[in-house]
Amino acid sequence: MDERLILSLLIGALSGIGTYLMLQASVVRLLLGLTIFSSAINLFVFTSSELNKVAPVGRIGEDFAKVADPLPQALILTAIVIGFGLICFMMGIILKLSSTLKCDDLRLFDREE
Amino acid sequence: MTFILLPFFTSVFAFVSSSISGRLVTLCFAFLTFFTLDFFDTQGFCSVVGGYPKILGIELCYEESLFLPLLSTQLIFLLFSFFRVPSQVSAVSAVMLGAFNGVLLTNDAFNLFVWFEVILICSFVLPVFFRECAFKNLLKFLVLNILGSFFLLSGVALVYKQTGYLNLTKIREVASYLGPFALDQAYIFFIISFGLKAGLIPFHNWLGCSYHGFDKRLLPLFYAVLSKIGVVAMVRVLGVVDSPTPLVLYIISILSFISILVGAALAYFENNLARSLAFLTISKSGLLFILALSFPSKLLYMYLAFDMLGTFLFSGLLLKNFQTAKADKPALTFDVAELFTFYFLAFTLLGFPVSAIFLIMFVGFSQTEFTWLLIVSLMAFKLGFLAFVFKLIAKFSSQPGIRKASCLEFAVAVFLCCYLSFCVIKKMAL
Repeated sequence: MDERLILSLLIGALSGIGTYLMLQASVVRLLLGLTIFSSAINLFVFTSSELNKVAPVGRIGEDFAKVADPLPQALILTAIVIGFGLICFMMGIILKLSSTLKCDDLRLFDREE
Repeated sequence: MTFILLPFFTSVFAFVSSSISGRLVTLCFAFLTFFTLDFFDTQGFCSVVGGYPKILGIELCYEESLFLPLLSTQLIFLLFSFFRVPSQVSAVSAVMLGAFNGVLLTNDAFNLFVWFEVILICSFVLPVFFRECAFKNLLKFLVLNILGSFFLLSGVALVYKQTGYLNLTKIREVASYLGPFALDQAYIFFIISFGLKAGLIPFHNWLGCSYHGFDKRLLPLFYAVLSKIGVVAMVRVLGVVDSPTPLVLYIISILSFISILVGAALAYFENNLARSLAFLTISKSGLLFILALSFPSKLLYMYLAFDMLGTFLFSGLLLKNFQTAKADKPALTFDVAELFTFYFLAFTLLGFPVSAIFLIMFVGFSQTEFTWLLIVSLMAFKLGFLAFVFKLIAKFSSQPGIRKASCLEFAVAVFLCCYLSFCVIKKMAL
């Protein structure tokens, strides 16, 4: 099967799962949903480069026309680092909230207000 | 680079210092950054960080039109450094300043995303340093803004896919060869992302739910700067193509117009002042998005600079004097000087009589099909804001006598200013 099709299906599936989890009432599921959704977006960025090419590692005598575009991969790395930081911060907030209210239900958070 | 590095150095020094010395350091650096503006070349220039080739490196470009927004932002942060806040807050706000300068100066789509993220991280961290922080509100703020970032990243990926470049100048060159609809999908992602950040309807929910849970010393900064990031980023992205396609234009204009109306209505009917100001921000974002479509970025930046400073002072003054100790009857307690400042700021934000000049410029430069929408939007925003100010005076003034007198004075002043604006327009039209 074409790699582009497989990647598209994978991105669609991950986005769907991520969205479904984010719509749940549990904060833990919300966090998981966000993480999965961010993976889908990173894969989406990855598809913006040409696929079916060799790894972008410089070798002497390499035909550069066959080498994959390294820029989207660098972008994904940056996005992963930023996303990881944000998810960690969010985990801290959720931990604080859950320990205060002794639950992980978003509907109860609203009622506590 | 100075504009980005100086705030970051400030942040480091402020973070390691004690509370008072931290504030002093921030103040000194804020002054330094402010006066650096004086050395700027009026013609504009571009520089690539690290001396890499132009396409590969991080390019920062300064244009003449960016002078006023930069000046306004430095001034806001300079004023914010006078606030009695913990030194960590000064440190993080300095990083936010550096990142905002980055958004204004960067000439690269991916770095726009990175600076955007830095601002977001700062805005998430800032409320935590205050005693009064509703974590539930912060969570809503966090989740929706992270989603906005995902959409922005997808938009950047689509632009790269279509054009093969991330440098905005190069994208502009390539986009002129591509068909008119080539970047439409990317623009849809950008509208969602920047709409979420600016609180455009229907992405506005988080604004009303989160801001009122934060410390009121922080809110003027958020109303004035944070909500405008989406607008600035949209202007930068819209500048990539000569003219966006009708699909993009209609989506933005319809969402913006609804935002102006709904934001003003929500602000009027809300009793919590912080929330009310947040809804007013939605209305303002709608107006700014329509202005971004209608006329050159140079004029928008001018208006934005004027508006950011005005919003910071206006919301700061209101929140400072809003007494919530008596829960049953909240009140605004102004002394004479503050009342005068309040009126002055309200008129400035309403745009009297300055609006007369702005209106002529807006209408003169706007595209033909948007002129009527622009005028209707401006009028709708002004009426909404006017109703909000009247409600503030009528509902929250501490004494009923002052309440009636103030309303009357304000109404007379508005009438005089309207007449003055009308005269200026008539004279200039002739």
